[in-house]
This record gives sequence, C-alpha cells and structure tokens, in this order.
Amino acid sequence: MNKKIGFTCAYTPVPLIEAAGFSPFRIFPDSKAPDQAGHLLHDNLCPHVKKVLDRALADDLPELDGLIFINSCDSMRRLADAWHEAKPDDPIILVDLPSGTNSLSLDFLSKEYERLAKTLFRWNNEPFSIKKIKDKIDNWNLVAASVKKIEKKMSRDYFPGYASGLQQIINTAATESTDKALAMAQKELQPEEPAKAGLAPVFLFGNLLFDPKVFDLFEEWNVHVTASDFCTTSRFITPVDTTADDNIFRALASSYMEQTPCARTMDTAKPGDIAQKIVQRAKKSNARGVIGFTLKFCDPYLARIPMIRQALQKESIPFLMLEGDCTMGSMGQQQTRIEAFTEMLGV
Amino acid sequence: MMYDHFENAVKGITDKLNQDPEGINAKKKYVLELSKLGKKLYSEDETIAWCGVTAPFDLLGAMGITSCFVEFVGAMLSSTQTAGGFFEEAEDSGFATDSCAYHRAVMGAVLKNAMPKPDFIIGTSSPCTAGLAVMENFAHQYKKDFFILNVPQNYTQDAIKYLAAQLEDMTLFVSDHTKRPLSKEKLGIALENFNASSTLLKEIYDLAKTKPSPVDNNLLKDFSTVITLMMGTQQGVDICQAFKNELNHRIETGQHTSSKEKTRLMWIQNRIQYPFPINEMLDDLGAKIVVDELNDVTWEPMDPDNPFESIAKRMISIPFSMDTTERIKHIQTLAGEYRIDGAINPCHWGCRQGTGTRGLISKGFKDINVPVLNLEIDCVDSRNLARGQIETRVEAFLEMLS
Amino acid sequence: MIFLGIDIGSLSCDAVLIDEEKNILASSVILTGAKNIESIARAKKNVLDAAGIMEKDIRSIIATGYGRARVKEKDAAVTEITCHAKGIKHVIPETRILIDIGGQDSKAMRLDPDGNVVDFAMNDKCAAGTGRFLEAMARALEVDITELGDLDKGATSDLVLSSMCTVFAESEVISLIACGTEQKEIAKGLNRSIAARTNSLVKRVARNIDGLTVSMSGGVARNKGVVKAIAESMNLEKINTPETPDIIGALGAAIIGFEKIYG
Repeated sequence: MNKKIGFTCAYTPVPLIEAAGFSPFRIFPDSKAPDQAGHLLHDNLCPHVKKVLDRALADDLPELDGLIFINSCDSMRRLADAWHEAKPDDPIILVDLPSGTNSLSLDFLSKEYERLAKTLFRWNNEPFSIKKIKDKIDNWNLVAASVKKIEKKMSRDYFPGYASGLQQIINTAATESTDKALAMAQKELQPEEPAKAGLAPVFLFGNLLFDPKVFDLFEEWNVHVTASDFCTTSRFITPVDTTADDNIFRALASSYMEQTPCARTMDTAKPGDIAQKIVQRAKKSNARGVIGFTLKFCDPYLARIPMIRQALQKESIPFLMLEGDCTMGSMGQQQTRIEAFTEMLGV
Repeated sequence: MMYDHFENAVKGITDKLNQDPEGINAKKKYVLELSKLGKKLYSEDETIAWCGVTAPFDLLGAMGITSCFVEFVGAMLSSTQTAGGFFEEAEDSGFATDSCAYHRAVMGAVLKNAMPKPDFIIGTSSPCTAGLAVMENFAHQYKKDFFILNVPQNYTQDAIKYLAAQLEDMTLFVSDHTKRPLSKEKLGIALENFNASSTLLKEIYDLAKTKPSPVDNNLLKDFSTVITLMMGTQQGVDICQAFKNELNHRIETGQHTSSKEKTRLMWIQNRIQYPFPINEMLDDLGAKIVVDELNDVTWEPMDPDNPFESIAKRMISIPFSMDTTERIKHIQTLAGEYRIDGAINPCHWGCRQGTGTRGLISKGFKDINVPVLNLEIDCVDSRNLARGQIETRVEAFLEMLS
Repeated sequence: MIFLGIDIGSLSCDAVLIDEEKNILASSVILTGAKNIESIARAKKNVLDAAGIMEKDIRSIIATGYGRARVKEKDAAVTEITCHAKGIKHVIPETRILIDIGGQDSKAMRLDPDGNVVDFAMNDKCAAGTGRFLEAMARALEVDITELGDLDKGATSDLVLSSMCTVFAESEVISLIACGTEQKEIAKGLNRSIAARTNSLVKRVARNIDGLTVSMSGGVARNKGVVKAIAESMNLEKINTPETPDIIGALGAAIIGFEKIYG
C-alpha cells in the first residue's frame, strides 16, 4: 500500500501527490473524536478545521507521511499552526495561496506548487519528474471529465441515488486514488436507471458537504440536486488545462485559481463575481431554487451571502440559506426548512 | 454629519492647544491629526482610498491619496457609541452576527450611505481573510475599482519579490486614477518621514520599557496600528516626537513613580473600543498595561533607492500576520523586554486570525511562566457585553497575580 | 366530507376538522407532553367528539409541525410553514407577511396574494424569543404564562434586555429583580427584545414592509404585550391576529387536505 499524504483544502493538486508516489488522504471532519481543538485554538472557529484537528489530537488518522496545508483562509492557517503543536514530528508544508487572480499571483502560485511538488518527491526519495506529474494530471482530468458527464446527466433529470453516488466517486479520489475513482465513475455512467419526476430541482453551494448520506437525505426531503459547488464536490475535482501554459505549474496555478470559485478567491476586475457565478451555475443546471449550506464561522462565505442573496433575488431564484457544523445531527435539524423550501418551489 | 463631527473636534482641540502653546499635549495633538484625517475623508474633495490594515499609507500619501483602513471607522463608530444602528442594518441585510464587528459596523455604514465614497479600494490579504472579503464587498457595493495586495505569510525572497512587484503595480493602478505618475521625490520625502517616525517609535517603546513605566493604561492604546496612517508625513514625525517628549517629561518629573504599578501587563491584539472602564479598573487595582502586542517596530529602515522591496519587507514582517510560531516568539520577546507579570488576551468575537490562536498563545505564555487571562469579549459591539462577568474575571486575575 | 389537520408542535398539539365549505367544525389545543403519539390520539378524539363525527367520515388527514412524521394515519406530511400560510390566507386573506412564533422556533414568511410562501426565514436553533423562552421568563418573573401578556401595562422606561439567550436572559431578569426593577418594566424590556429579534427576521424576507398586511399566528400571538411591541418596532399601527392563533397551522393542514382532493 502506498504511503499517504494528508491534506484538507480543495486547492491541493492531488496529481502532485500521486506523481511523487504517495496516495492522497483528504482528512474529512467526520470523526467522533472528542472535542479538544477549541482548547488549542478557539471554540468559535470553523468546525471543519476543529474536527480535523480533533482527529489529529485523538490519533484518529491513518499513518501519514506528510501534511499539505494551504494558506487559504484564517482558519486553515490556524490549523497548520496547531498541527505543529498536535503532531510535532509530522512533516508539514504550507502553500501560500494568493487571494487575487492576476498574472503576478499566478506566477507566485506556480512557484508555490513547484515547491510543493519538489518537497513531495523529496519526502518520498523519488527523483523529481515532470513527466510523472503530467501523466497523473492526465489521469486526474479523466476523472474530472467523468464527473462532468455525471453532473450533466444530473442537471437534466433526477436519477435516485445519483448525487450520493457521485459523492462517493469524489471522496474516493480524495482519500484513495484517482485510478479507483475513475473506475467507479465509468461504472456509474454505464447502467441508466429511468429518470424520475416529482422532486424540486435545486442547486447547492457552500463550503463543505462531503457525506454521501447527506445527499440521500436531500432526496428524501424532495430535493433533486441538479449540481453542487462545495470544496468537497465539484470544486475539488478541478480539471487542469495543460494547454494553458508550457510550464505545468503555471497551468496548475491558473486552473485552480480560475476554476475553483471558493469565496476566498476573488477576481479584482469583477468584485462580487461569486454571486454571478452561482446564479449562472444554478441556471445552467436547470435548478428552480438554490440552497446554500455553510459551516459556522466561515468568514469568506459569511461576507458573501448578502450579495449572493441579492443576485438570486434579482433573477427571481428562490434561495434558502442553511448553517451547520460537520455532524449529521445538524443536518437533521434542517429538515423542516428544506421541506418547506421544496413546498415553496411547488413540489 | 460626520464631517461636522470632525470639524468640531478639530476646532475644539485646536482651541485647547492654543491655550497651552508650550505644553507637550501628545495625545491631544494625535487626536487632532486623526480628526483632520477624518475631516479629509468626509470632505468630498479628496481622492479617497479605503484600504486593508497593512496597506502602504506612506506610499499612497506620496501619490496624493487620502487613505485609511476601514477598521478605523469601525473603531470610531464603536467608541462614539454610534455603531448600534449600523450593526442592525448590516445584520438585517444578512451579515451574520458571527462576523467581526469592526467589519459589520462598517458594512452597516456602507449600506446606510454613512461612509465617504472611495475613488478606489485597496485590499490587503493580511491580517485577515474577513477584512479582505469586506473590501471586496465595498468594491461591489460602490462599483469602484479594486486592487489586492497579496501579502504572503512567509518571509522568503520569492515572497518579498512578489509583494514588491505588486506594490509597483499598485502605483500604476493609482496613477491610472489620479492621472499623475508617482513622484520619486515625494516618495523619498515620505520614506524619510517614515524612517524618522520609526526611529522615534522605537525610542517611545524603549521608554515604555522603563520600570516603573511612564505610560498609563490609555496613552499608547492601539498606537502602532493607527500611527501608520501618518508615519509618512511630517505631522506623523511631530506626533511621535510629542509622545517621546511626553514620556521623557514623565520620567524627568518623576510622574512614572507616582502611579501605582504593582502589576505590569501586556495587552494582546487590539483594545476594547467602546467606553468600558477597564483602564480605570486596572488603575484602581494597581495594574498597568505597559505594552500592547502590536506596538513594535519590526522592520528595517526604508531604502528610498529600493522603495518597493523595503515596503514589501515591512508589510510581511508584522509578526501578527505571520504564522503563530513567529507571533508567539515575538510576544515572548516583548514579555521579556517589558518585564511583564501577566497578559490579557481579549478574544475579540468573530476574529479567526487573532483569537483563533487563543490556546496556542496561552501555551506560549505558559512556556515562559507568564499567566494570561483570556477575556471572551467583543471589542467593538457592546450589545452583548456581560460587564459584571468581565469585571470579576479581571479582578480575580489581578488578585491571583498579586 | 370531512378533513382533519393535526399540528404537533413542541409545546402544543392542535387539531382542526373542516367540512367541504372549509368551515371549522371543531378544534382542539392540548399540551404535547413527552408522549406525542398519545397527544395525537387525544387531540383527534377531542375534535371528533366535539363535532360528533365518526373517524371513518374523515376524507383526509394532513399532519404538520415538528412531530408530523409521528402521525401514523396521515395521508401526507406538510411543513408548518406552508400550513400556517394556508391557514392565515383562510382567516385573514390580505396577509402578505406572516409571523409565527411557536413553542420552539419563530418564523417570518412572505406570501403572495394566493397564500403561497414566496420566502421564509426561521430563527436559529436556540429558543430565544419563542414560546419556550417566554415560559422561562414567566418562571423568572414568578407569574403564570397567561398573565405575561398584560404585565407590561403602564411601563415607562426604555429598558431592553441585552441577553437573548434563554439561559442568560433568565439570569438577567433575576438580577433586574434583585436590583428592584419593577415587574412591568422587565416585561416591557422582554417584549422589546423579542420584537427586535422578530423584526430582524421579518427584514430577512422583506426589507420594506410598506403597504403590506402583517399578521401573526402561533401561541405567542395571544400575548398582547409581545404583539404590541412587535408592531411598535415595525412602525405599524397594528398586527392582525386571528381569534385562535394557535390552530392556524392545523387549519392550514386541513385545508391542504381539502385542496389535494378538490384542487
């Protein structure tokens, strides 16, 4: 079995991990580890970050040969800080991620990704190989293409269980291997169950929604998920446009910065563009309504919700905003809201 | 309304200073300059830039821009107890109460049209994600051009080069708006002033280290954060000189020994902005805040021949914005230099950057045997202040220290 | 043909029977208690007995409220949000903004002229400003919950409670009592706090309520002090309340049952 590299953010290019001979292991905040992270950091901090740290503090992790943290937001920075304290012997790399997407920032990020790649090869005593990186990117792009196909089908019609099936594929790419995810994706695409009618087509967005069971719950509550935009769903499977630049790291940088519209990244030429992107994606996926789901204390989203609400209102797209933590219990409490929303959409 | 407020403040303080032309009056001169800045911001005939906290105000000043970080307005609204309506406006439009109240107050002011309209906006990625997000909101709301300075977290050559190149780009962005190129001469003067202010700041902080300290609990409140707004100007130099004179005067006249100083304290991050008599309480209990975490000079002098790289190094060098290991090292150094007995960490509600590290900071203090009091408080929004609880905690902490 | 609506809330279990003309034949409001299956049976029996109708004559049963899934014999479950909107449309048809403060949560809804919900907002999961909150406050003030509505009469100060967390507010009330603050002033302060919170909920569904008819349903609508304070905080002359605000959810459920059959 391959040695594993832990990571927590969707801006981590998995092909670099695999090219260096490691397996990716995205640390999901899905543990029942006791709540200890608040002592090391603060209780009013992103539940994602706290739960991931709880797993480290409770040794509820497989053996990891290194950790990649991304300086994507204050909470992620704090996680990297606390990891030093919780696991002082773990090799850690913190990748500095710019907030804007101009040319200087892409240059800087490409250097950061190159530093990450070289560090990973060094950790595994492997000779640095651009070819291996390119091969793994090609593989990754196959998964991304399959995911796109499944998403396209989902946006057209409702197929029971499809949303949670897609999530399992994405989670496999995050925690096992691209190859395995690809095999699953091809299987998922094969048999076509008949489409069903009667659910409310809804586009979901937010920061973190990774448990396939949650997608089943949405269906149970009359939601047909037409597409979703979370750092654990489509945002994670970012296709890399290798034709964008001869320098593979620059191609990675531009693909991740421009195609992964997390609220923490912004286009200075179009302030507030995240709201427009959500409207466009909702429309493209044929959704009749939009549900936002964010974990508590997520500053980048907290600051953007008003403008997203405004943009959806302008287009007369009904919008429901939910907030929770990483537990299924918090999801259960949303049942009335979600059902009322689908009733409002006329289901 | 705000213009009148600042104009009255300028007039009132000027009158008082005129009555005492020989006096040092450092704090009055400082408030006068801040009021003048406020007046300029609201005058509608200046080129205004709203900025992130770590923006290069000296460089912007040299380009003829009146600039200010937005948290300054949040603090001002809180200190004048006028923030309540703005909080409600922001919350009603969907800004969650979990967010930082500096930013929430300002967003409310934007929505109520109570903020001076900027000509453009310069966000900084440090110190916090939330601050930058609010800057983007501003740009969206005002439909104004937006520039981001990405401040890397690590002090490396690549990071410095990257930020220096962005600063150079920023001057082009500003010139595009003002139709005036950057004048090397004006920048040279601004950097000279900045260096003179920095030297004086170091001297001020060295004087504050004296035991007993000539500072009082209020004198250097949030000083470094705010004084950066004017360090590139002659007025900034004069203010710093006045503060240095004030401290020297207190030492020469023995004032510093007359005040009680049973306990020397460090204050972490920013102070409480609304009227809350914590300083008086500390006075009564014989405790003195001799150092604020953010009151330090962590940069080398600016090199006028290499301005962008100098400013870049300065912006990255702020320990508060770096990783927590660096921040703790800095706090531990200050603790030693100022010979503190304890520290107060006001864990400002909604601040992931600063108070997100509460536990690690506590551990950092524990490692050097300095007790720390974590106060769970909102430093800007007083609506949920549990006054009695805070007072009991502070008193108990000081009892423990003595 | 008869239609039954049952609303199983956290505090009360309400049932309403209507006929084909949507006339209310009988209604019942009882405490939900710890065993909601028993309460459902009792509420159902109450209305059947009161109307003198046999169970077999019921054409449809629609369940609503947080315990809606627990009604075994239901034809369908519909959320209380849709049901309250439907119910209020029947009794106060001009309603465009509906505030429903129930036992454990409060909601604001914006309705279209046909009584359909076009937007809604719910309070956070804590009990602040809800029936449970008022129960706790009545306890702290040592009065019966039914007396709370008139308790603020004659209050003159502008006291507002700063804590809206049930636990903290209870201790704040106790310390106000300890400081000798009059009961009526505390009651007024409480009502103002609830009003501020409700107002902010309403603003989430309608920034501007000019010209819109605002009504209130749910058990708390019986509390005159709270209703008045909400109206004041929204600069409204009055907020409409139905005669029996607690049964609006169950009424809406019964009507939905009727409409499912008759369209």
